[in-house]
Amino acid sequence: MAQDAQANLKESVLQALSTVTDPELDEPITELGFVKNLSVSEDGRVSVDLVTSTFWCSPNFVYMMLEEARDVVSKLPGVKEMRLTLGGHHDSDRINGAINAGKSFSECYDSEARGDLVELNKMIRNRALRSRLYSMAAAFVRSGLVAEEIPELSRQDVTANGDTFVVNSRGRMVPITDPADMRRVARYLSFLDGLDRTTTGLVVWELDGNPPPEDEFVSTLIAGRLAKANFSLNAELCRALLESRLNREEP
Amino acid sequence: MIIAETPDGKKQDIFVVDYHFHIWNAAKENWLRPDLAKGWINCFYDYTKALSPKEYVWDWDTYAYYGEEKALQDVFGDGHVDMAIFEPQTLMYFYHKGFSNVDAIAGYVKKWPDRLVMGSRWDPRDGEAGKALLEEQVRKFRIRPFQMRNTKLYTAEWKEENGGMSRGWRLDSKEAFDFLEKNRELGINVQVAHKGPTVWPLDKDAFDIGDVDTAATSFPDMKFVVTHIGLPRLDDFCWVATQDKNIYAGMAVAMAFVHTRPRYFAEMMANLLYWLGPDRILFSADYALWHPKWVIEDFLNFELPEDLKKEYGVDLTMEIKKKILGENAAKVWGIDIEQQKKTQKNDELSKKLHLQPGTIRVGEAAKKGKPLAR
Repeated sequence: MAQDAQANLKESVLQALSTVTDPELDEPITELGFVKNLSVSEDGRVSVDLVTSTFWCSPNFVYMMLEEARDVVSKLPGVKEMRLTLGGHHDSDRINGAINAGKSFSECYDSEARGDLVELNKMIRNRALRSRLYSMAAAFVRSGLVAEEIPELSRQDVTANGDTFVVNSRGRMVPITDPADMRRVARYLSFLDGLDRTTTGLVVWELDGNPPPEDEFVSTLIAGRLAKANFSLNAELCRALLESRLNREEP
Repeated sequence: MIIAETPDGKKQDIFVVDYHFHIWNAAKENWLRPDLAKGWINCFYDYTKALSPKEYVWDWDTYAYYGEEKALQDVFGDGHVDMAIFEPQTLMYFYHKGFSNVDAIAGYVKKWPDRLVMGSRWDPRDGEAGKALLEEQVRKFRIRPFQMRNTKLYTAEWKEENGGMSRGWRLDSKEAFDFLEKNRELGINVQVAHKGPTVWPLDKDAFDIGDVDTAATSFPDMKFVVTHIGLPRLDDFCWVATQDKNIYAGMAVAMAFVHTRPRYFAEMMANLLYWLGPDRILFSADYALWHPKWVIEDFLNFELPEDLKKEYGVDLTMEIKKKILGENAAKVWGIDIEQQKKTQKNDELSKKLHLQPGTIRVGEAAKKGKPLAR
C-alpha cells in the first residue's frame, strides 16, 4: 500500500470511529478520548487501542461500543484485519478475546447474561433520541419558533441550506444560524434519518417513529430535557474521570 | 455546627448531617485480589481528583488508608459536619478484611456515639446467617435511638457462590424481600441503595433502579435513599422518586460537582427540586472522596442561576440549603437536632478537637453557574 493510501485509510478509520458513540453518554468515542492509539499497517491491518473512563465501566455498554467499532471499521474498503484492544478494564482479557473472535455479547458472557443487548440498546437509544429532540427544540425556540409549532412540522419542513438549516413553519422561513444550534439540529436529524419508520413527522418520541401523545409536547420536552441533563452530567463526569485516570501515577 | 451569615446581617445555625461517610482501608496489605482491590481504590482516587480543588488531593498512600484520627479532624474538626452516618462497603472478594467493614465501624461508633452513626449492610445471598447477624448488631449497637437504623445495599458486590461467581443481586427478589421484612421487624427502616456496574444478568442495565421502585412500593413504611441520585440514571431516578414518596435523593458524588462544574450542579439541583421538592434531598460529601469543608462552603455560596429558577419555578434558598444539609436526614434517621446540639456541646469529641461553631459569610462570593457547554 502506498504511503498516501495508508494515510487515507487511517483517516477513514478515524472517521468511522467518530460515528461510534458511548451509549450512556451519547457522544462519539473519539471526542471522549477513548481512542488511545490507532495504527494501520501497509497491508491494511488496523489496530485500535481503547480505554474507558474507569476500570469498572459496565461490560454491556463497553461491548456495545466495541462491537460497533469493530463493525464500522471492518467493512471499510482496504481493511484486511481489525484488532481491538481494550486496556485497563476489569474484564479486558475476556472482552478482547471475544470481540476479536467476532463473538456476540451473550457468547462472551455465557451464563452471566441471559441474552444479547437488543433490549438494552433500544432503551438507551430511545433516551438519546429524546435528549436530541429536546436539544433541537430548544435550538428552534432560540431561533424564533414557538414550542407549540414544533410538533406540527414534518421532516421535510427542515432543510439544509449550505451549513445552516431553514425551518418552514406555517409558511414562515426560520433560519438556524448559530453554529452550536446547527450542530444540535444535525445531531437530531442524523438520528431521525437513521430510523426505520413509516411516519413523516419531525417530532419522534419512540424508536418506531411514533410522536409523543397529542397535546403533550411541552411535558415531553421537560422529560427530554432531563434525559439531556443526564447525558451531559455523565459525559462530564466521564471526561473528568478519564483525565484523572490518564494522569495518575500507579502506586 | 455552622453559623451562616448573609450580607443582610442575618445569622442562621445550620446543623450538618452527612448520610454517607467512610473510614476505609485500601492499603496494600489488605489487598486480597490485587488487580481488583487496586482497581477499586484507584477509581475512587480518580473521582476525588476529578472534582476536588487541587489543594485537597492527598498522596495515594494517605488516600488508601487515612484512619480514624484524620477522619475525625477532617470531618468534624475542619469540615463543619456535626454527625456522620457510616455506609459500609465490605467488598470481601477484593480485600482481606473488607474495604470498610461493619466490625471496624462498630468500634468507631462505640467511641463516638453522638457523632458517628452506625449503619450496617445485608446481602440476600447471605441467607439466614445474614439475618441473624443483623439481629445481633441491633442488639449490640442500638446505643442511641438513631443508631443501627440504616443499611447500605451495594447490589454490585461480587461473591463466590456455589463454586461460581456472582457479580451482584437485585432488590426485588424474594430473598431480598425476606431481608426487608427482617429489617422492618428490627426497626432498620432506612435502606441506602447504591448501584454498581456488574449485576446479573449482564445483558440488562446494571444501573436500572426499577428494583428500588418495586421495593419502595412494597415497603411504604420504609425509606429508600438512592445514593448518587441514581447517576448515571438521573432521569429514571426522578421518575421513580416522583411516584414513590419514600424515595430520597442521596447527594453523595453529585454534591462534588458544585466546585468545578457549577452549571452541571445547577441543572441537577433544579431537576431535583422540581421533581422531588426540597424535603427529600440529603447532603453528603462522601468523605474521603471529597472533603466536607469545601463542599459545604461552596454549597452555601451556591445560587441557582436565574434562567433555571425561571424555567423550573424553583429556588435554592438558605432555608432549603439548611434542610438539605441536615434537617432532612435528621427526620429520616429520627435525630432530634435540638437534643443533639445540647449533647454535643460538651461531648468527648468537642473536647478532643476543641470544636466551636464556625461562622461562614455567605453570598459575598456566590458562584453563579455558567451555561452548559453543549
